[in-house]
Amino acid sequence: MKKVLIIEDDQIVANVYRNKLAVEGYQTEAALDGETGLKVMRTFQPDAIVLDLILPKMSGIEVIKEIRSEADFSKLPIIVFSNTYLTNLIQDAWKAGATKCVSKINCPPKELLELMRRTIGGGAVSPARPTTDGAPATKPAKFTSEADAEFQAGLQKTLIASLPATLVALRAGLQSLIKSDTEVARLKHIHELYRRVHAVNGNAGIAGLVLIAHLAAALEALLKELYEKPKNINSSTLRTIAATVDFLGFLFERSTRPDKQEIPPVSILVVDDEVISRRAIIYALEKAQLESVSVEDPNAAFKLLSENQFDLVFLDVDMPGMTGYELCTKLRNLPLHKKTPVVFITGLSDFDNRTSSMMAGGNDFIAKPFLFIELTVKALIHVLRGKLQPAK
Amino acid sequence: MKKDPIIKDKMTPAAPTAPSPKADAPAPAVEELPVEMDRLNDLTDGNADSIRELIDLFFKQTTQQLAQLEAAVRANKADDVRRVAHSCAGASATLGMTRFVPLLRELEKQGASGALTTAAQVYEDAAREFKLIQNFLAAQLNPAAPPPGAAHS
Repeated sequence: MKKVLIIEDDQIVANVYRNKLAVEGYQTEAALDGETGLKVMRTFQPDAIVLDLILPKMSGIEVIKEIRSEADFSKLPIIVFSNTYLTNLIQDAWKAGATKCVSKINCPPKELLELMRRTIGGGAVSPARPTTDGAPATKPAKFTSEADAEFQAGLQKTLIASLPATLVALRAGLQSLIKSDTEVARLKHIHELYRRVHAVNGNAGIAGLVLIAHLAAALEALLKELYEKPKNINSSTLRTIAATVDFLGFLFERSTRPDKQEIPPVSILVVDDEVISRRAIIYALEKAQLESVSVEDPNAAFKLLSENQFDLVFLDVDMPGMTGYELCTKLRNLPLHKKTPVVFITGLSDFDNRTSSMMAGGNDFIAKPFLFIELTVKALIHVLRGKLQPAK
Repeated sequence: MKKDPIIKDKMTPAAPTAPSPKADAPAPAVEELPVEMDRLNDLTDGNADSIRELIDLFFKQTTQQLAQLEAAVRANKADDVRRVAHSCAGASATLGMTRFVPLLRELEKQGASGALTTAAQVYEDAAREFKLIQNFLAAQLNPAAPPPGAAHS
């Protein structure tokens, strides 16, 4: 029987995967942190390891390096769970010796099972029916896709039941962050919120609530960046965190509805006269696989807006020929764009002066130089809100 | 459109990163580096070719903008100073040119006020800082080669 070690600090996620693999004929062990994982690996001698990159005590990257430094495990398949928004971390995982990197956003237990079969084989026809609460599986059952669907539905039901309490905890964490008056306190609250959001990402991912998992993953990446570079904590980033927690609440409320669990195709217009800024915005949008069209000339942008529907518009403020505010005022007179979300990109010094933005009909703004992931988060909120709750 | 959960291997030649001090080491009096390499790495997913392309674009654009700024300062054209400095500051801030940006913001401010009182000196400081950026990035990316864009200066 093939053996799999799961190193994952979220016990629910670890149990769900473990259970699924166990009922499919794998022998499994789990460890809740990297140090324990390494100890278990040496005694358990697994055929593969499933590893979360975000772990307490010892990071997932350090764990991979340690595994690769031991001759007995230098070729051991390591399947890494990561957050697609943490691109540098994924690069580090590849460099350290990961065998496969898997997005937590979209990896329900069935996907992991298929991946394990492809990687190390094994996984005979299941002798037992899986349970969703992490308890050992005992009842023999014929395994079918219906049973899989039932299993997934059970997972979703369990998660949905916990969402109101999760939202209360997220809001409390946000309040503590906003009220904190020292950098030490702020960092502590950022880290706590980050851990909570990391758990939301993992749990929503296994339960198939992809939209929640996506937004949580993006917020997790933003919080990680702020924790590592606290100088970027400012009125813009705090406002973005608050808006994201608020929108997660909206998605939680809708979790029982039959929304399509995927990021819908969208069309975004980026208007900025400066090529490097345009490139940065496009890059930030691509992080969430959001497609965009970019133009440097505000007059050309207006022509495009006159002829095409867009789901979101990013506008630089200071452009030759026509300011972003002027362009926004003009586009509000177009039948296609009376309600299209418009986000201004403006200097931090102007950030607190919101009058011009609101007077021109803008919906939001982001301070320059923006964190790329902050812009990604903002874009996700606006396009998802537009798709799920179209403006009347 | 169901997404494959497997993240494709995007292994590319890794770009170098500026060394960061260890968390448990005493905080040395470190001079601020001219470029936040983290931002460049972030913007390019650490792909060295993309970084080179972006830096080349930045060098070409900034070389032109500094020439425009010098001319505008000499001709006392405050609005031109404001406009060019604003654009140059935006790109520089996006790429993490931490020491360059405040100089450009100062030029932008003086241009907006219409009084280019110390603009000539600030321009000289900005031009000097740009050379330091070129040298720093050349050393980071390719120690053996001359700074990209150096021929323009």
